[in-house]
Amino acid sequence: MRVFSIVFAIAYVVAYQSGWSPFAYYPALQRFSTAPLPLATAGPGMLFYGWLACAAAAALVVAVVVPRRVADRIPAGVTWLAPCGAIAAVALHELRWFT
Amino acid sequence: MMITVLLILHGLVAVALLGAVTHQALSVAGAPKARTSFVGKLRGVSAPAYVDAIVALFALSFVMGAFLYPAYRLDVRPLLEDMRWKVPTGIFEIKEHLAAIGLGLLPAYRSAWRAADASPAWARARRALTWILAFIVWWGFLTGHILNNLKGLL
Repeated sequence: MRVFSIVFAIAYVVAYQSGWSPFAYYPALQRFSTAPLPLATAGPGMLFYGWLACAAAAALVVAVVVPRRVADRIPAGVTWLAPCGAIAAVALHELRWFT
Repeated sequence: MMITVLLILHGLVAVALLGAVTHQALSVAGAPKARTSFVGKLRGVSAPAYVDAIVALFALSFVMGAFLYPAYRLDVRPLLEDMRWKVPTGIFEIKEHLAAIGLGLLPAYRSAWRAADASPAWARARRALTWILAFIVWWGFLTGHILNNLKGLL
C-alpha cells in the first residue's frame, strides 16, 4: 500500500512534467488515441488519463515486485514526504499561470 | 442535461467529503479538547471512524470529476483562454494534478490509519496524510466553485 502511493506520486509527476503520455483522449471526437491527432480536426487532446494510467501501472508493478519485508522497513515519514514533494513540484511547474 | 446532473452530484459528494476530512483533520490537529464548545465538538470526533468514508467519497468524487473533465475541456477552458484568464485556468490545472496525487495517496492513507503501530512517527504520518488530503479536498472544492461561477458569468 505504502509503496504504491509513494511510486504513484513520483511517477505521476515525472509523466506529467515530461509531457509524455501513452495515449490521449479527444473529447470532441469522444475517443482515445495512442497517436497525436491534429488540433484542427480532432480538437484539444487530454493527456490526464494517460498520466494516471502510467502512474498506476508503475506503482502497481513496483508494489508487486518489492517484497513485504522491504516495504515494511520504509520509514513512516516517506509516505507523506513523497506526496508533499509531488505537490511542491506541481506548484513550481504551474507558477507559469500566475506570472 | 446529464452533465448538469453529474455536476450537482459531484458537488454533493464533495460537500460530504469536505465535512468528513475537515472533521478528521481538526481532530488530529492537537491535543483533544473538551466537547463543551463548538470547536471542541467539531474536533472531538473519532478520527479513525472517518477513514473508509473519506476513501470511498474521494474515489467517487474523483470518478465523477473524471467524467466531467472533458466537458470542462471543451466548453469552459476555451472560454477562459479567449478571455485570457490565466489564473482560473492555472488553479484548475493544479486541481487536476492534486486530485491525481490524492487518489494515489489513498492506499497509504488507509494503511497508515489501519496500522497498529502507535509510535510517534506513525502518529505524525497519519496526521500529515490527513492534512495533505484535507488540503487537496479544500483546493478542489473551492476551485470547482470558482470555475463554475465564472462559467455562469461568461
